[in-house]
Amino acid sequence: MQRSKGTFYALTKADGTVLAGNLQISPQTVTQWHGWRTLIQRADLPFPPYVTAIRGVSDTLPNGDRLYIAENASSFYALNHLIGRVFLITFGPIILLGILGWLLVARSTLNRVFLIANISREIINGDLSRRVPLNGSGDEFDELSSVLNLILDRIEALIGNIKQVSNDISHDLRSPLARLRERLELARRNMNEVVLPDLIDEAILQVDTALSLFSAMLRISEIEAGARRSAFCRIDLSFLLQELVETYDAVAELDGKTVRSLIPPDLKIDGDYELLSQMFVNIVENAIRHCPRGTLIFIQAEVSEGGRKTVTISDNGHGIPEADRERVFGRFVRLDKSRHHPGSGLGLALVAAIATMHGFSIVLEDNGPGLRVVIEM
Amino acid sequence: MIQDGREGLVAAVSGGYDLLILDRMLPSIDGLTILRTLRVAKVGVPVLFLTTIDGVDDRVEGLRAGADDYLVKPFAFEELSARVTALARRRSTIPANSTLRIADLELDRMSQTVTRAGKRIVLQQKEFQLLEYLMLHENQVVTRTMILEAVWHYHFMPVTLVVESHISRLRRKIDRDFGQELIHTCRGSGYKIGC
Repeated sequence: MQRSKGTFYALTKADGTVLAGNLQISPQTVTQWHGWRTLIQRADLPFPPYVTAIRGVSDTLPNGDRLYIAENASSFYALNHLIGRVFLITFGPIILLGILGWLLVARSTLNRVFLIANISREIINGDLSRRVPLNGSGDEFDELSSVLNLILDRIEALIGNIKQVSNDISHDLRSPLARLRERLELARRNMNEVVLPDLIDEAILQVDTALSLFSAMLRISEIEAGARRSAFCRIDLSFLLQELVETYDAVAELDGKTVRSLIPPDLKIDGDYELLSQMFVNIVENAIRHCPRGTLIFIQAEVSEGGRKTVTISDNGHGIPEADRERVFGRFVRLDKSRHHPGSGLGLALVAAIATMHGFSIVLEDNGPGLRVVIEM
Repeated sequence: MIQDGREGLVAAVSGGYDLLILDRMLPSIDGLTILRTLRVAKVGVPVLFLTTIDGVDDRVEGLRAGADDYLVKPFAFEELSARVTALARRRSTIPANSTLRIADLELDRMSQTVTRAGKRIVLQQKEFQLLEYLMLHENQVVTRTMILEAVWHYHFMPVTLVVESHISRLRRKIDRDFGQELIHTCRGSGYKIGC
């Protein structure tokens, strides 16, 4: 092959015998080369040392001879080769890492899905206390898990509520019914006596007690189930409290007690007017019923700088021992001191339910002497 | 007395009743649907719901549907009787002017003033509303529950003597020192104002 910087050519017979040219071409190559081709240096294609690849075209002449013309394509070939290698070196690891990462993510995602599924299964099987653990990363799964846990908390509370109601019914509704039965038996034995109307009146009283227990319990359940939040609207707290003060000052007066107040005008809150009335009525009635004559009951409303409203209902009566202050919000809790007063033991439970439903915090404090009920809104 | 919802609706639409006492749970058509149908059909007869369905929302729903009163079972017979009387008489006794008058007692609803024998009497807000309610039901017995619902909007039973204490204050102001007592206690059922 003659030395040539760039162009190579060859003329061969149809059987591959080279007639002329500076390109040594084997019969094997001849049979393979039709049209445009790129040829890389190999044993049967001895290129000059500075040539690593050529690119050219073959054509068949009218007499059957073949003409090959090609150009040095070494630099193209080298560039191509380089690009390929660079591509492999840079993108290869990236793709590899990507695949690896994807596998890892998929694995942990699937693991968490399976975890949630497994815990759900345990809950279905009856263990309502199970919760989906959070990994603290705040990702979508944590978000989903915490919402799921909230749902579970709610369900657990509702089921606990139902259990509580059935317990309450079995314990506390029995006593008025038992007393009713006793009165009826007595009446049966005294059919013609003058005491009969009194016995019947007493029986009616016991029925009324049972009925009022029923409605109080149903009301608490209704409130705890949160069914009434739909009735929330903007209400005038000042007006509500002023009406309360006017109403219960008259009631307290009959009993030798006084109701006084300090209420700024135009305090507005969102809530259920009827339920909030009942909440305050229960608290004030408790104070009136359980305090000795001469007690002053004071109702005060305040607004903090942050706009939080606080209503304080205080008295200077006997107060409640510190140990009992949490307990009295439970159902059917009656302190020994008040056993001889009429009442269901549901008044403060209803207060707690209404406060919780409104998102209020309610605490009992020592008023030195007496009791202070603080409701923060 | 009709035991079935559909028959009840037909009877109510055909008219001739002064007042309907309606249960909410009835065979075939429930009471709420009957009432809504009646009101859509422009039948304006007073309706009292008498029912065991006593959730707070249920009562609101009943009144929104056009009921004039809502009483929960079980009830005292005096309670039902007082409410029925009040409903039946309501249409005829809506006062034309703003002044209510019984004997020498006068209540002006516009200026919110009360006088007896020409003498001005100062009442607190709730005392005024209570007297107004009693006078709107002149010579009718109104029960404590009716008073609590109308004057205080309390649909629950306070355990203390809310109504009694206000009646007592009212008596001290409008009855004492005037010879003739106008507010009467009807034992076991409620109160009545009249000569």
